[in-house]
Amino acid sequence: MNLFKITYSWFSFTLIGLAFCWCGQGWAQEKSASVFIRFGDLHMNYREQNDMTNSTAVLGPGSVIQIPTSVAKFNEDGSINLNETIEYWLAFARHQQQNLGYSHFQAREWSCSAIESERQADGHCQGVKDGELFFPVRVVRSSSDNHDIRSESYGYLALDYLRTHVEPHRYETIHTTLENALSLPAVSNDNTQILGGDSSYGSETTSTKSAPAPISQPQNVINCNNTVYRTPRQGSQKNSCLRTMSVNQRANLVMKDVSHINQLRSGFNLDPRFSACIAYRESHMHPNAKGGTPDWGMYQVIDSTGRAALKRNNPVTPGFSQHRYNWVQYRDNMLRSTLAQADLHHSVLFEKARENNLIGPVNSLTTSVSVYQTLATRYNGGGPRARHYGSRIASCYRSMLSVAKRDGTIINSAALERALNKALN
Amino acid sequence: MQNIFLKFASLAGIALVLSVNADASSKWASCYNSSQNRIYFQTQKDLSAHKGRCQGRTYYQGEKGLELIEDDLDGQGFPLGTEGASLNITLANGRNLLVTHWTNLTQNNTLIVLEPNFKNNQVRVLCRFANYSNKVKAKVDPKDGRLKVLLRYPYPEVSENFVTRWVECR
Repeated sequence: MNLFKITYSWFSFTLIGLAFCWCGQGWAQEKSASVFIRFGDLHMNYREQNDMTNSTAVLGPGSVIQIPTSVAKFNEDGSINLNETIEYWLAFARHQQQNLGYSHFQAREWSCSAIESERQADGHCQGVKDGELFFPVRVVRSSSDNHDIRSESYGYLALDYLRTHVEPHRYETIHTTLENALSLPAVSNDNTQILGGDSSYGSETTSTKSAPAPISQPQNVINCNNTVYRTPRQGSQKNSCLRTMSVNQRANLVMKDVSHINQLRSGFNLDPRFSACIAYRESHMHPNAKGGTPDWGMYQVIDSTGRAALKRNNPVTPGFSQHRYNWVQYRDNMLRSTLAQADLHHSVLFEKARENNLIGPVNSLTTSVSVYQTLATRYNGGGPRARHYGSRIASCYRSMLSVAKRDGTIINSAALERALNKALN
Repeated sequence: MQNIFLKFASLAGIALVLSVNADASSKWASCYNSSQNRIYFQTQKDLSAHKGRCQGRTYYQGEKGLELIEDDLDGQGFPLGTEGASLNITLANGRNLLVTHWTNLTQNNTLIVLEPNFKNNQVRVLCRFANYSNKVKAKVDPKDGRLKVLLRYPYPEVSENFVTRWVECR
């Protein structure tokens, strides 16, 4: 039975491969029906084919892209099943790569794009299992506002991101002829919600297969360009980007961000109440704080730690994975995005938990103060200072358990600041 | 071109040559093999025997949980003394040392000074300090000829206050 399956799949892939070769590398011709995706309220990064540099354009609302017809999978009602299409697409490209040595349809991870020899058959860089993949697509209509993308151009788009992170109502999959696709009405630009914190908008996040619910709210972008030196005990209140927000509001923001990252980075479910304690002790929850080491942002991460964390975990904040291999760029952008700061903080603690065999206890959702005390101590290095740090954070965390729920919802506003203050001194 | 090489080397998990000691009597180079977490010390003989690869008999095995602070994966590297890259230093008596800086993803780095001994293929750890700074600075004190490293550390020990001091490495 298995042999039959293998043989069947080999033949089907090979025949499809031949079909692609016969019809212009798989792109449907003018008169035959093909599969298109029309952007609604959506911006996505787009990379020109063969341009392996960082040049990125943005496809905006109303853009129409075409995907190879023969990888398309349909539901019983005739609509396109994007999940199955992507899975089949990857399997098909892998098969071609392994058997023919090349594939016009191979998705590719961008971080290793400069070194083709480093790429594995599944399109990922060597040693990376779940980086975001860009799929080859054809732009049949571009409505980009700021960038000049030729219609009829070929390039790469992070389709996996589309299926895992974007609500289905923000785009439309259509099975029709090219002629009809081109005559589809444009989409209004009103009320466009921008994903991503930097000027290029975002789409490049790690999209794991188990990625949960789509993210509906925009990330927290502060638009704060200055960094503020923090003096011990004073925090950075005077010049903080969030100076107009109360402690409760800032704590709410921190906990929501960490909950958000928990959704995006599966495998580590950090308690947002713990993160609130760390952020309060480190910076009084001021995102543009800069400490003396220097340490950066709300969680006061130092350069070497930030760099090492990025090496180990791909950022999951929309728009930030392009900075993965350039810490300075990541850092400078991060200071304007509390979500990206939570992302880095989460990544660092993920690594510390991994080193100390604490992932299981943290993920078990038990609210063990001792687990989080150990994590806080390890987070701060070693020695008496780290132990003191751990005990303060644990004390804060213990109090936070009765002040907020695990999803970050505050249930006792009056007691919040008192709980957070236990993290100090 | 250099950047391309560095990027390739980093991504391939192979070594980057950190330094070449210029002392004629005990000339050696050091390199970091990130996949093994080892710093290799190579004489000219080792270099030709291993054909430029980061291997050899004289190495320092990095501690578990620590990784060397080296260049960015974009291959741009850091200017010496600004971001924690390793530093060669020669004492007045001709001993050659390597000042290394390590991260364990916490709020401090670890500064470790190493001295290779090619006779017994061992590497001696001269000193090891927590450093709450990204900078690596070392000097030979002209008064006593001893090695001093610049450290930033909390003082009092359990506090948010820091001091920066030259501390003797011995």
